[in-house]
Amino acid sequence: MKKVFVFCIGGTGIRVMKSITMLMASGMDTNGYAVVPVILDPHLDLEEKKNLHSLIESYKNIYDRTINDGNDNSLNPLDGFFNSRIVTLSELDNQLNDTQQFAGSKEKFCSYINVANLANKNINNYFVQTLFSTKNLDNSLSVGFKGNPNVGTVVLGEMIEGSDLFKSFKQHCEKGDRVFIISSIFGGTGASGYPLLEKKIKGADALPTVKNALMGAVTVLPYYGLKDPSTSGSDIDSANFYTKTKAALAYYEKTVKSDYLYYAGETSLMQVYENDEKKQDDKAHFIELIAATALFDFLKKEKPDNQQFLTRAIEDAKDSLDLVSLGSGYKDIVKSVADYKLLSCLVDILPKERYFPLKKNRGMDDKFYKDAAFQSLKRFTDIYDNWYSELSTNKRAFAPLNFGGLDNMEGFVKNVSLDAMNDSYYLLEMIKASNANKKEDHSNKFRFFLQFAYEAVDKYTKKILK
Amino acid sequence: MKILSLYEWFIGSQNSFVNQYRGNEALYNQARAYWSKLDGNSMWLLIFFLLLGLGMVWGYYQPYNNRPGRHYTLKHWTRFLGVTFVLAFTITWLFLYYFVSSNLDVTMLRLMLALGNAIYTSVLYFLLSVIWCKFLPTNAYRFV
Repeated sequence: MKKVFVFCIGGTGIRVMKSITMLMASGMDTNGYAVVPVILDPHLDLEEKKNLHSLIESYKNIYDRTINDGNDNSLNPLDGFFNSRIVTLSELDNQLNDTQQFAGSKEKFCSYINVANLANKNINNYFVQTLFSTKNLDNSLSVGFKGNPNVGTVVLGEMIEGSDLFKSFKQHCEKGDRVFIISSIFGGTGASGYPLLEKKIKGADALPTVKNALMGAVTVLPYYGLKDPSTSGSDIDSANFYTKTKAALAYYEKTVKSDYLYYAGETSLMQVYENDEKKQDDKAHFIELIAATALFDFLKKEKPDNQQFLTRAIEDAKDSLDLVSLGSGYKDIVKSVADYKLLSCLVDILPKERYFPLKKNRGMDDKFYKDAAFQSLKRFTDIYDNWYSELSTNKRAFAPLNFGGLDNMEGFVKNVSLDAMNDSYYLLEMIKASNANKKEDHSNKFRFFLQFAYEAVDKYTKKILK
Repeated sequence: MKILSLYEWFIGSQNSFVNQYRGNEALYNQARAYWSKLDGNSMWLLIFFLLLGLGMVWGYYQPYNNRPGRHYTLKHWTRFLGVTFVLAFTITWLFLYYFVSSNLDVTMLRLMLALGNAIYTSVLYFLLSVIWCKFLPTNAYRFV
């Protein structure tokens, strides 16, 4: 099994991994690589982090159900929805549950570096005071580094090296496996974590498979602002984001060695979020989606002769992006998202469809729709719908779809006229796909459901790619 | 030709029909001639019955269900049954009116014969639907 270890550093890393999971569910291809997410965020009790773990478990649960033939034998992954595997490090370690999580610390930074042990007039004490503010020193490490890469640089290296996750990664990274690192450059955790992590991987001289693994990274430039910290009492001031970015870029220029380094960012801080570092309850954003696509691009590439720096642009800087303003390079993303949103419609419609032929022909009856497999898909789909809703209402908005009701689906994708006028077109194609499938190699109804749904949806949405 | 005897449920026997005119020999002879003509054309009733029954079932399970619009539902199958009934009734009645004409007042006979053919065709539609659902490919819901 070829693997790609995806290190997600900090809040942005978590949100980009969410987009990766959504795109994988939509059918984006990982070129045969199993994705191993490694979430590195010292922020304890972060809701977003818990949600991502739960989303990944949910994805894995659905994927596992699609590759089972109904008699505990394995089948090839499906084409289309949920076609690629996500495997956790815990799973690689043969642990049943995903118990391996990056260990943050509840202690204060000053305690972590033992400032109390330094005499007042000790030169090191002056050095510490020069590098770190009193606030820096008093910060608890359990909420991350609050946008301070100078703190992250000191703490994160040891945290990474000492973590079970990193040990497990080194143990399971085999020849042909790849590494991909996701981080932001304007905060604390991501900006400091990426070069540190890269250094630890490239410096693993005793482990050539780790050291020589093809490495890609996406660095997210500032794409949102935070409300005035003087009103929220937060320690993070987004007015510094560009300054910090410039400083970090200057450092990266001479330091980072990833084979492919992708940059994703905005032209201005169009969206301003609540300044609450404990919650970080930020909505899904287009830039996170773009950063997520870097992984799929990386997995198609071969080892380059020289280090490659890549980015991607949009055709027209509109506030709300559709297929035309995004540009032709985004057709595959729009198709994938449209595919899943159409699956979402089918998931909603079919349990209520009394005379749907597959009820008799394939056993997709009331029991099937109440079964755990379909219910997991439904829950995942609810999260997906919410994710797209956030993307399509954020600034800048990724809104290439136009849902005008089940009776009017011709314009489901803006700027493209689909041949399916309403939902019955998709239902009919599902029936046709079922009738055309004469293979008797398994009895997995859930796999049939996703397979026929994808064939039905793809019949109409492939027009997007033309 | 014994085909007409299949419709005795609806139109009664030849005797009961001609005996209505027993008091008037001219009419009696016309009635006998009419019945004989009817009997001679009864093959057409069978052809309408078969063509409509088969055609409507094929039309429903094949081209109609190859088109979108949730045609697989019971509602659409029932609509086709209704259309089969109406078509069989109308075609039979028109055929009898224009091609099996008479100076006698045979309106009720024609109506009952058309009704009988319509019912038989509908029954055929149902039976062929059962067979189609059991053995033949379709995008429709297999009710039976």
